[in-house]
This record gives sequence, structure tokens and C-alpha cells, in this order.
Amino acid sequence: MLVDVRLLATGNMLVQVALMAAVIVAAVLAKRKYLDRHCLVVRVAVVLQLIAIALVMLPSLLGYLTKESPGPFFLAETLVHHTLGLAVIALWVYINLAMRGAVKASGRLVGYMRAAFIMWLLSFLIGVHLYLVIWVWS
Amino acid sequence: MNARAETIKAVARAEAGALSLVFRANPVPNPSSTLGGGYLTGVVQKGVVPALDGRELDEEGVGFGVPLIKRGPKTILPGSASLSVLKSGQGEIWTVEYDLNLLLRAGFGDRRSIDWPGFYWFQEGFSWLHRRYPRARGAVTRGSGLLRAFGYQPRLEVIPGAGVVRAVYTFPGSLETIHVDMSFRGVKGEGAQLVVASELGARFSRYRDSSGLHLEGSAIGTWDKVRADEASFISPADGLAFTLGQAGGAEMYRGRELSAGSLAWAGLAYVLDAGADSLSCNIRLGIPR
Repeated sequence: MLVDVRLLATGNMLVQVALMAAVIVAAVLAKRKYLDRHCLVVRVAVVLQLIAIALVMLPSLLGYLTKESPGPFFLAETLVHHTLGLAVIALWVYINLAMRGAVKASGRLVGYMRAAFIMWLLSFLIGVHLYLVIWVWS
Repeated sequence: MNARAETIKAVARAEAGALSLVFRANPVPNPSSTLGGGYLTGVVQKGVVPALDGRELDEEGVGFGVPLIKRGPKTILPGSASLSVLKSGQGEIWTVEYDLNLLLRAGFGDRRSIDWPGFYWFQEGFSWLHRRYPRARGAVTRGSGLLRAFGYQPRLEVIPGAGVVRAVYTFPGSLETIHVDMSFRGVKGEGAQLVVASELGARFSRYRDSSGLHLEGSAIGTWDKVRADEASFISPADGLAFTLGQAGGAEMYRGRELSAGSLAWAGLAYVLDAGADSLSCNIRLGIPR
């Protein structure tokens, strides 16, 4: 099955906008102490993000690393974007394990959650820039 | 067949020159076992293990003809078995009933095992990535290494039995071929993915199959479908090969992993088709062709 890569990338961009909005909503829910809803929204957002990484972004990254010849700045920006994204996932796993007592949390969990939010936001902004560079400005 | 009476045994051994076959039945599962070279699979009830000049060739591999089941992200393995042996002039029949009573879990250091199902689904996702994208394997493996640095360790925990799998191993005195008949009819519940693994140590570092594919070391992959009629793993150091053919009602996969202290296996696995509950196959041992 042939896939329109531009359509896929644009679809993924829209998904990322929706997920960013969801994460902001989750932050507001936490601020207002609706913690169960906060956990639910974050959980759904992370699962959808994992699917987007596995099906769209990881294959795209591997393609750029092995077949394309991107400039050094572009490659560095891509790797920073992906590293931030993976760090968010890792933090989410760590926070959940700590909440269940499977690991000992060092410090307050809210600090890790705020760090995850900031990393997600940074990764999103870099991702928007990458999308514009690849599909709009080129 | 002129057979002597069947006897219940704890250990069975058959010898033909330098080559021998061994089966050790664990009467009860023992997750604290220190057998098996310190590998996690030392706790698992292994299958038939070949030995050369008394040196068993399994390393981290589980041996020949070992059943396991997967239910979603959960992997259940046998921790114990009963063994009976029937001998005749033509060869031997070893009948094993594997008790599926070990659940693969994970934890950090001395803390209790992780009981969050999402974590195991997450782990399953990384396993899928590892299998699906060979180019991402290095990163996934390094991530796994990083986790281990923080005390992450897989564990096997005893659970109420998920069922009994009956395996009959038949082989002639020459030990050239082991015929395996396996029945999963004793597995409880439905919806499980049924797998029969045949693995020896990672010293079996060469792969050949009847389609002409030749692979060595990490090029073999960790879980790749075998499309050829027959596939072999060869140990250059031992001058020994084991060969399995396609089995009706199942797909065959090959894999090999070597990581100091934690992984050292190479072999083939049958994944039974949905609805299938039994498997028959032959395992050929000998000099590589």
C-alpha cells in the first residue's frame, strides 16, 4: 500500500497539536486538583504519542538517518526533538512506577511532571519547526 | 517396539559417543535456583539439552521443545515437569508434562515486582520495536542496558498453574533425530499464543536455511520469520548443528542474542496458528552440511 508521506506528516502534525492541547488541559486539571482526570488524560495522550512515534516518527527518523543526506543542523535538531520526546516517555514511566512503589522517587513527583511538561512543549515546538522546514518552506 | 516398562525419573540421559541428550525434571518451580550459569532461564524447566563430551550446550537457551504461552504482555513458562522414560532396542521415548507455573515479571533492585500492566504493555511495545526495526535495535538495547544500570531486572515468579503441556520426545539410539509431539490441550483458558522454543547457547552463531540464506552473529536477528523449509544453527566451535523444519499449523521464527551476563541463546521457535493446540516436529542433530 503506497502512503502519501506528506499527508501522513500533516496528519501526524494535527495529532501532535491535539496532544499538546490535551497535555495543557491535563496540567490545568492537576492545578485544580482533579487528579484522577489528570492521570487519565495524560495516560491517553502518552499512549497515542507512543503510537505516533512507532508508526510515523520513528520510521521517518530512521529514513533520514540512513537514506537522506540532511544538513548537520537539521540532523541535530531532529535528534534533539526525538531525544526530548523519548525523555518525556521515560519520565512518564518513571512517575508511574514511583507512584506504585516499584521505584523510590528522589524528590517530589510534581517536579518530574513539570519537567516532562516542559520537555513535551519544547519537543512540540521543535517538531513544528521541523514540519515547516520539510513540508512548507522547502 | 520391544519396550521396557516406563519409569518415572528426575533425570534422563541418552548417549551416543561424544553426543548425549539430557533432561532434568524440576519437581517444583524454584525461582531462587542458582543453576543454569546464573542466567534467568536457569530457573525455567528446560527441555531436552544436548551435550558434547559431557558439556551441555544450552547456556541461556531453554533447550529443545519447550512450551510457553503469551497472554497479551504476559509470558508464562514452565517451572517444573514430570518425566517418564520408555526404553527399547530402537531408542527411547521421554514423556514430559510441563507445568506452566512461572510468570515473567520485572522489578528494580530488591523492590517488589512491578504490578502495573501498562509497564508490561510498554515493554511489549519496545520488544515489537526491536523486532520490527533492525536499525533501532542498537538504541533499544542501549536503553535496556541503561535500565539495568538502575537495577532493573527481569524475574520469574511462581503462579498458580496455567495448565500442563504434554511433550513426547522420541529418538533412536544414534540420537540423530528427535521427534517431538506436543499437546497444549491442557492449557487453561483461551486466547493464549502458544509457542514451542528450541534454543541452545549463543555459541551457535551461524544460521543457514534451505533457501540459501547464510547469516552470522547479530545479522541473524532476534525474532525473524523463517520462510525456508528447513533452518539450521551451527556452532563452529563445537562442529555441531541443529536443524528444524517447518511444522504444520505453525510459523517458525529464528533468533539469537548475546549480551554478557544476561543473554546467550540461539534458536528457533514455532508460534502455533490460532486454533491449533498441538505440534509435531523433528530436530536433527549432526555435523553441519
